Amino acid sequence: MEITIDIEDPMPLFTQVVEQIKSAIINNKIRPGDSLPSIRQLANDLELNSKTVAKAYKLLERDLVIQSKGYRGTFVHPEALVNSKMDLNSEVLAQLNSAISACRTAGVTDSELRIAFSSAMNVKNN
Amino acid sequence: MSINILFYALFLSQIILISYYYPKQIIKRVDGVLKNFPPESYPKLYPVPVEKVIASKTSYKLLNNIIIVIGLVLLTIHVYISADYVGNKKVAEGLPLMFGMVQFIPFMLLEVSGCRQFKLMRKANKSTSRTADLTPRHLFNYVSPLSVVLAVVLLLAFVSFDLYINNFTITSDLIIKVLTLCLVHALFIGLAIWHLTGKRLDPHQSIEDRSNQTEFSLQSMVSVSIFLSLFLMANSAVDVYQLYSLEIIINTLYFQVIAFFSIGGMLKKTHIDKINFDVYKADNSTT
Repeated sequence: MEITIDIEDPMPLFTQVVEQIKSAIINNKIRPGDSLPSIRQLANDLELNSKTVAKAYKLLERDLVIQSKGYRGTFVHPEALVNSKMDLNSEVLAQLNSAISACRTAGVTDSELRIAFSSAMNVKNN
Repeated sequence: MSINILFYALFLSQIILISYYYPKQIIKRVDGVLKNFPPESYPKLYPVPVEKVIASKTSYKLLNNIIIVIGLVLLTIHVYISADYVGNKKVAEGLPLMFGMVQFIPFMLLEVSGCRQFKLMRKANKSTSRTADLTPRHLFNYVSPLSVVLAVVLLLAFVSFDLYINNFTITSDLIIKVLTLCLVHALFIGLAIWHLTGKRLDPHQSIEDRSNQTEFSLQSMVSVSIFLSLFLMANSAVDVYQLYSLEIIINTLYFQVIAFFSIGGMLKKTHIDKINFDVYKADNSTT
């Protein structure tokens, strides 16, 4: 199974890698339990920096699309097919929109919302 | 005398195999590529003008012809010298090895020239798309675990055998041989890692061709490792059991076996009929 990325595409390279792997899973080109190439192998084949591929793998691991098994390598997650179809960005946007609407209805101003959001993010980061 | 005649025949075979037969096959292959995949239809295959390729081919042929003449002169000299010797004695036993190294020079120059060509291909490659295979490349996908185990066992067997025949004393000869083996195998391990995870030299090479190339390289390295251990064991046995006259035979056989597995294997495994040349076409944008 091959993946192709375009280095001049406006979409970030790591996102292209994530999307290509998810697409391969959705199209049954790779199946749960299949092993994936190492970060080094994929980075060298795609002529990318290892950090770019590592970032893509990290995001895929977070989304439970792939799973790392230490020295044995990286494998497609058993729930990868369902998890690949889930659009986390739209999920986050929907949750935020709902929270913002509720706050606005309660009379909270936009600047108060920004300050609150920034504080909440800082709390999380700390 | 019979050992001498056997050596003449084997050394002649070494000259013919490495400096005539394989170079002829390589030249035939270059001619086949030039004829069937011309620059007009496959421009990506020619980062340098065809005239330069033809000139390199002529130089390669000439160099091999010079080596054949040197080989025949050396053989004649050896016939003359060895005629004075009788019995179980060493007579220029290093000749096949030294000459074998000279015979490999054109192949090394060919490799260097190939690397330069790939560098120019990468420089000329304007494609913005990059393709990769999602199948991991593991050592045992290309080489059988049995042959790797055999190579390791033979390495250990050589060290044990050498210690045994020398009454378990560490001789300087053994240290040199072990150091040589360590260096050769460090090189093999580095090359294996590069083949499995490294960047491809040819930017247009198809995934299948790369896989074939990786398979051939790894298999030939394992074969060379096995024969190197066997060769060193035979070499030690020759000294201890005083079979001096056989050393020159072993040396010439060793080089021919190495050539058979490396150059012969390469010609067989990466035959032009099996290579996907479509990737070198002008209109092919998927690289």
